[in-house]
Amino acid sequence: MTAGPTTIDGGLDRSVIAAATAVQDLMRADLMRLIGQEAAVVAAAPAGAGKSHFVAATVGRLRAEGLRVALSAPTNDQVQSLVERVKQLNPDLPVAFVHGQGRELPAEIAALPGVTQPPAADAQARQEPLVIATLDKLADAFLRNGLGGFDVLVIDEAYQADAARYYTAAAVAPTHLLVGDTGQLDPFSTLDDATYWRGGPEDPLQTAVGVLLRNHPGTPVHQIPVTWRLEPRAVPIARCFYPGHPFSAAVLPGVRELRLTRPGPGSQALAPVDAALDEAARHGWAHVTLPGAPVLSADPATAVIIREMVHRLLARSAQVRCENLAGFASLRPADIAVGVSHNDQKDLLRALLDSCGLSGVRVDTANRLQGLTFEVVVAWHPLAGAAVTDAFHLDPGRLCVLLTRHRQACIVVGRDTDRALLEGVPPATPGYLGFDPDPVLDGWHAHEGAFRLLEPHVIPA
Amino acid sequence: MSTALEAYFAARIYQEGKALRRTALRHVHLADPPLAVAIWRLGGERFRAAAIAWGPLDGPFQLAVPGEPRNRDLYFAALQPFAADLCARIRRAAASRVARQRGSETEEIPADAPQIVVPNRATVSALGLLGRYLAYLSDRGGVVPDPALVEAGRHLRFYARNARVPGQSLLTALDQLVAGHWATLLSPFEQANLAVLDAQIEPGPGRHPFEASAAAEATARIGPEPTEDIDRTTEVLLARFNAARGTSSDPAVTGPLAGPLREHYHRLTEPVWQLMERVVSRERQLPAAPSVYRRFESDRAAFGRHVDWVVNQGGYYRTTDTPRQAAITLRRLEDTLARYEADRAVEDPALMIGHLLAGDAIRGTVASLSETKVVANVRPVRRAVIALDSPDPVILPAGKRLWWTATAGGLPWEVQSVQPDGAGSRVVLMLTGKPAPERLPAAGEVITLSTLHTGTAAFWLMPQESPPWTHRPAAPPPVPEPIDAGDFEQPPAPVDAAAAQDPGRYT
Repeated sequence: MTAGPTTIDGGLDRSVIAAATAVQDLMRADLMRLIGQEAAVVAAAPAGAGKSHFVAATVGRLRAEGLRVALSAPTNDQVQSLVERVKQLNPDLPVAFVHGQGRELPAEIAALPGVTQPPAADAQARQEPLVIATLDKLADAFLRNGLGGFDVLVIDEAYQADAARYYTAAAVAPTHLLVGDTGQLDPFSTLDDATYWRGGPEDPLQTAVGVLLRNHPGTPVHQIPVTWRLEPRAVPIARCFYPGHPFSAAVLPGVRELRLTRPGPGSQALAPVDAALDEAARHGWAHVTLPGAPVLSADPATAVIIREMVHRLLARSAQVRCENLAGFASLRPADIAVGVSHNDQKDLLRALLDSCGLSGVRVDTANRLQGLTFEVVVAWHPLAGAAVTDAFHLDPGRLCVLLTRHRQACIVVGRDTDRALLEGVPPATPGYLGFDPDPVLDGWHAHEGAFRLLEPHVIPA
Repeated sequence: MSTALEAYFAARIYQEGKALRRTALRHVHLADPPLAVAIWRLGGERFRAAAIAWGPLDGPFQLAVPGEPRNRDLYFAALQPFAADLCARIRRAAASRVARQRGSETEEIPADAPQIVVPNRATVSALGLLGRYLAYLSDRGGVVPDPALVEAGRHLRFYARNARVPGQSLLTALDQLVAGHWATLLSPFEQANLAVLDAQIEPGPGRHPFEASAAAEATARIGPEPTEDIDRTTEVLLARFNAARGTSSDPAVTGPLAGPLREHYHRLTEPVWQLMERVVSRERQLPAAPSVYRRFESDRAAFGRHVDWVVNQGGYYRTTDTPRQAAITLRRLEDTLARYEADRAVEDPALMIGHLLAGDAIRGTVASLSETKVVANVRPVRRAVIALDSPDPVILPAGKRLWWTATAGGLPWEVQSVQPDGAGSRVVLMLTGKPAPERLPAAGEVITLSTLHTGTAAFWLMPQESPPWTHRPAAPPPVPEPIDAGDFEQPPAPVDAAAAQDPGRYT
């Protein structure tokens, strides 16, 4: 039940799809025109725009032209799913997955016909026509084993890749296609003074797209105007994170539906949980607010209510319908994700969910949920119970990832004092010469917009 | 940093009326004595030092006061003794070398490196700015600046840039050192004031740290930025000095005239010097953590490379990094930071408390130690399994990897299961490698395991020298005009505001 343009059927908005197809054709034409030159094409996409599908299809076309392609992304999870995607669309294409130690493909992907996992030196010796690897591995293989000489380098999630990683990997091919989501989390560093280079052309923490456009401002940038994952009710909130980038849902209103086949509430204590589930099923959104209190980041009360939410969702035999399905299908634990901001929140929830047999439900931080799709998402609001706002929790990318992973419904869990944090004057923020965006003020603005649009769906707990 | 621990500290400090130590060990090298530096600027003049005090911290300081720091000749003449002394100390320290063995490589590193301590981080950036100013001095107007000034500028630049390295102790900001070692009731902004921090630690008999800090904040003056009252006095003295010297910049004339200004800055520096002495001797009482030596060894190696480059080879540093240098630096600093944080918590039980509270670490008694066989790849291999009884409830998912603090540089243990056990938990862990005796705790032993490890960071190769086209501008940037251009041009005539046309009016 993954989102994707593979099963174009009824229930879709033809005009939106036609506009998106036109942009994609234009991008491929641009790329083909630039083959052989030191040049690039950038594709900026909103959440769920079918980026991976576009990447996989484009790789197929490039291979059909006889071009040698390196396909990359920043993380191991991302490249592994790219292997799967490429094989789905191009079953006959041989794929060489070059990986680091202990990062082999999962057995089911490795078993796909035509997928090999050669050492980097062998991949180069055999002149493998399509190599897939993380940016770090690609860089390492280039330096250590001379893996290179490709015609095209394709990078997915290029707004998450930093300039430092791109530096080495960029040398493997002259022509690049950079595809990414501008709303997601920016490259991140553990350093206190990570802004040391900010604004300078050498900044290793600017995005791969950032460094490319800075040095080559004439590079064509295309905006993909569609989201396949999100349905029309989810789009207004998602737009808060993509200022200046218009897009619409590919699916028509009312085509998707989340249905709870057993009525709530189960008990007095569960009433708010069931009310939130009903609200989410009806409107696609629910914002559950616990009473305001200053709490630790891994707040047990919030974790327990999230567990109840997941538990009740399955206990009430939730079913979903969508453009890819003929009728209703039962919601499985694997269709549900819980998104958090901190690892201690993740550990607490993992233990709580495991203890009641919900191991199939994915719990992860926003950083690791990037690029993934689920039917229903329960999001632990980054500002939940915070006493003050800070750059980490205001990061628009974090909230964007949490609020744009779902196909059917998203339940946000926070506290009723969270919104008050954004009342009044935004904080003073430092300015950097040569660096226009202001992550804190952008985050302030995006958070404010999301709170406002969630207001009709507030369920006090 | 654990919020719960911070809350605990705040409550106890409030109750007991004084700051509390955060650490059981000292995590920064402290020379005996270090070279201390204090700087004063004129208000609004960020790029010139109005006074520099320096010297070993166990004795009186020397003071350089140019009188009028905005006059190039006076400024250079006053800075010369400071620059010459700094260069001499650095060359002397770098001259005697010892061998350091790393794997199969032997490196000759300086036996010692001068450690500079300053009262606060603002002085670190002030030294960096001073270094940047001096390191690129040109011979404009035909006047060749003293080579010691240029060399000192390049040393200061190295020291200030190296101050970014987590855990380094070549240039130590004492406010940072104290804030890292002590829990106080101060906000991050207040912690930048060394006198206020010191008042929290020793508020004096019968005084609450709040009052002591408030009093210190109101009275203590620490550079480099002058307060308004300092500037008011300075302005009067400076005006008198300038009136008396006329256009002269001859040291024989200006030297005696600068007496009152020198006295003024001497008076200001004296309490700062005493404060630094008190703070350093208090921190030195704590025993140094085992890894302090290794970190200072890395500092000495970096210092040795710097001296080789600048003094022996006459090399220059770029004013800004190349994309390649920035990428390498970022990665090095991140690796160093991870290692520093792990070292501190693994060596210092007081610092592990925060990790225990945050759920990154567990502590308990080894209830049993057994062996099992698991299938790794193809064949079954031996694995050690321990059951750990923790008095506290443990929340950890199965599969989480933890390192025993005694073997934090070795193999991790993997959580197999967590079961409630009375008020606490029983955690079963399996070692992820061969059960060699030195890797195993004994039954009955109380041990700590955490997510922190001190193993060497993954080996990575330096990026290629020549930048890819993506990291090179399409057109080379315009050549900047020389910094001295226009020095001899007539300044534009002043504009009479009443006569000027209103640019907002379009007719």
